[in-house]
Amino acid sequence: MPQRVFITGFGIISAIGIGADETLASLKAKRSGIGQLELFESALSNIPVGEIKKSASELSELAGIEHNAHNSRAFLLGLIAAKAAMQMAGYQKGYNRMGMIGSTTVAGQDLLDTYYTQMLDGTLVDAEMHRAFTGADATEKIAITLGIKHNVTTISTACSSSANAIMNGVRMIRSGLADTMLVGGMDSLARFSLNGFNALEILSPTGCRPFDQNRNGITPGEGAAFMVLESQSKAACKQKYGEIRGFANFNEAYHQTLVNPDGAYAEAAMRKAIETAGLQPADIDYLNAHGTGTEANDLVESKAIKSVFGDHLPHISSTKGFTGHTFAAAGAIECVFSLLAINNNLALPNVGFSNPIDETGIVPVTETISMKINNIISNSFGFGGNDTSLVISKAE
Amino acid sequence: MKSEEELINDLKAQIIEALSIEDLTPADIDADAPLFGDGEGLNLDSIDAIELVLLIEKQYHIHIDDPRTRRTILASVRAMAKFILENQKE
Amino acid sequence: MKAYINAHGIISPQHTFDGAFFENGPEEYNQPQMHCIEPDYKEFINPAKLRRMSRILKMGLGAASLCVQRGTQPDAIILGTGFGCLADLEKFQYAMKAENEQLLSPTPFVNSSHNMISSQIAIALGCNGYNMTHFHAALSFENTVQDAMMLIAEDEVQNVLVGGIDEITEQLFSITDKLNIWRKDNYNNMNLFNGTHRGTLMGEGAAFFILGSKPTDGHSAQIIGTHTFIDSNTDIIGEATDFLATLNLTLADIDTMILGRNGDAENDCVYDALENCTQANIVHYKHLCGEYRTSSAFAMWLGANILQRQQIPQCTIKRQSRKNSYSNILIYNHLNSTEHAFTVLSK
Repeated sequence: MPQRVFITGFGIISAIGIGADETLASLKAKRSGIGQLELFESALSNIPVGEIKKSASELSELAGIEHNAHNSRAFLLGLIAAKAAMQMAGYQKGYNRMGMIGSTTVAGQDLLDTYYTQMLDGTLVDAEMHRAFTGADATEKIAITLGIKHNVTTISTACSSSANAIMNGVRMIRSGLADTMLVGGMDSLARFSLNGFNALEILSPTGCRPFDQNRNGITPGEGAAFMVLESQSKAACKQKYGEIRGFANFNEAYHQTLVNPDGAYAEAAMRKAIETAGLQPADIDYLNAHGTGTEANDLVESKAIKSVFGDHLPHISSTKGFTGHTFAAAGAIECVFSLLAINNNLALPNVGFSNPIDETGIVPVTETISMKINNIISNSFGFGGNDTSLVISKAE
Repeated sequence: MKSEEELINDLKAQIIEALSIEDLTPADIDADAPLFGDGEGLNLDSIDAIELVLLIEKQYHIHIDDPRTRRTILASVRAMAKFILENQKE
Repeated sequence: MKAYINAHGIISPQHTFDGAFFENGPEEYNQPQMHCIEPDYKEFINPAKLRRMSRILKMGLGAASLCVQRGTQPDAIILGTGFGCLADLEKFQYAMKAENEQLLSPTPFVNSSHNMISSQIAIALGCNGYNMTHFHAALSFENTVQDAMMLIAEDEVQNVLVGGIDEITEQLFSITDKLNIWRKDNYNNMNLFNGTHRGTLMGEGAAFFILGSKPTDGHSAQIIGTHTFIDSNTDIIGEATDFLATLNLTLADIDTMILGRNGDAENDCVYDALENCTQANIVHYKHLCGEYRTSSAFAMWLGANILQRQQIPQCTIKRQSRKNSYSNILIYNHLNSTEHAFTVLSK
């Protein structure tokens, strides 16, 4: 049996709230955070988004730091979530056997957007700003702020980034390289990603509708979530909010952006995650889907779910109707949602659903269900065919 | 106004450029072969379709409103040429 | 944890792709940028697989393909990159502003996703296993190697393709040149370490390795450990000693050190303490590949060659104090004296 790894703290910020309490209240009340883009100018401002209605200075205040032009929005979101996770786990700062895995796709793109031209023409000469253009800077500044020195990395595998950060945090502890790992992801809305997904023609004009027959694309969102993972001995005398019990990562090796229609590796990721958890598909009570709301993802994911679970489907939902797709942060945000589900005995609802997909007929949870939840599987599938599943269990 | 054949030759070069198909010359592209589909013709995908729509829009200033008509318009190089000739302003 | 370096494929500013570097010596540069000497990719990669690829993607696939041809099909692919597909990112960023967010080509956006290099290699090789991209500046490559070593120790895989890759772009040069990172004069690479100067040379490269759980006939070295840390005020000797202790080694066991000196006086003084505390041979490499985020992948290639050939290329020797044989190499590199990374290679 591999060493067990527990979650002793978590922090979250997204369009549906700051911290666990606000988030849980929104989930229970089916209060979506998707709405109008307000905080920056864009030709695409008519596209609904999952935006956190806080300015940079408000976020700085929440993060407990001075406002500074060199801080990317993703860093601020990440720091807020990471500090909350550390505090919950009883850490003022890091120690020798603590590492950190951050993850992001576009951290720093907001600064790039504002200052790149000036940096290029030389009207702004600022080494710190140049560092802040790159995602690793967000992780590194969080690590330095929190006094984490060893084994710091940033993972960037598109929309599965933070699921991979969580998986690798567990692997670091099991390998004996660390006893405690701060893991998670952060991404902010940026003109860059809005325009990129618009160019790919996958933005929903109405707000995403995961698993609905009439779904019409993704809704970009922003947010961050971090967790403190600890070895069994480190977690022994602490409150344990859950356990990362199984995981798997596969690559479809099919296409840069298109999902392989056969869903073989989405299926393989779920099967192996369940298997490495020492469980059977029937042990899974709730499935938090990737469920982006695109035509291809939701169909292929539905088929893969049916292949894994047969006729005995767990309760299923995508929570992207609440937050939008928070890209690199999605896996960590949805892992925190899963912890809230486990600790409050809830299956979470799927906002935006009315009619099942003809081909698969999957009906997700539409109203919060109170039930005992022992095991959850959470899917994160990224560009480049990067498919990760995590099994999150009640800490017994 | 260019003839259909002249336009086809222009388009072949523009397609090679837009889709960075480095291993082909215009002569290698059959104007009537399907552009999309598994193992057929140029074997293009949906990102290529977006690039070709942009090509028509940027080079020939024709906007394709309805995405459902794309498959027909982009069926082959000849189909693209015919569509451009029909919709190009004098 | 350990892993064997069973094959390598490397594209760099030297003639490393075909191994001519060892016969013909180093390439000389007289400019602040050192670009890769790239092979004709079409000679060994199906041109259809090269479509839609920017330069860095071709460099990555080229080095990876060579590595796999010399080694074996990997079970997993792990990549480290400091800036990812930067040229694509710049292209999309530029178009977005120039075209007022209208009619944008999606291709550079797709390519700019940092994991696109490892994904494209997976597609070209048909590798469905574990696929990861570490994106943490000067620690990217060491984090990649550590990830691969864990994967091997977990018994998940036999062979992992790992790589370190970054590209020069004109915009990156332009911005960083204004930050006085690069030499303004004295930029002959073969004289990089002569005299006291500020600034270094900008480099790039794609260095890939097949790491295996078992050695194959062609193996060059084994990696016995990596260690990274972030600290702007660190006792390097203390960190190195503690790290080596976890491998049951002391600094006296290290016969050769490969150090990331880059010719910038302020940068290089960080290496002095480590260099002066032992009698080890001192090797440097950045005059051959330039400074870039994943340059330690080039250092690993050099170290593996030293162990395999039992000879240090003359042009890389700073101090040769022990000549008999080469068994344990410590690679140490830092960025801005904040990010520090160690790797130990053994025979």
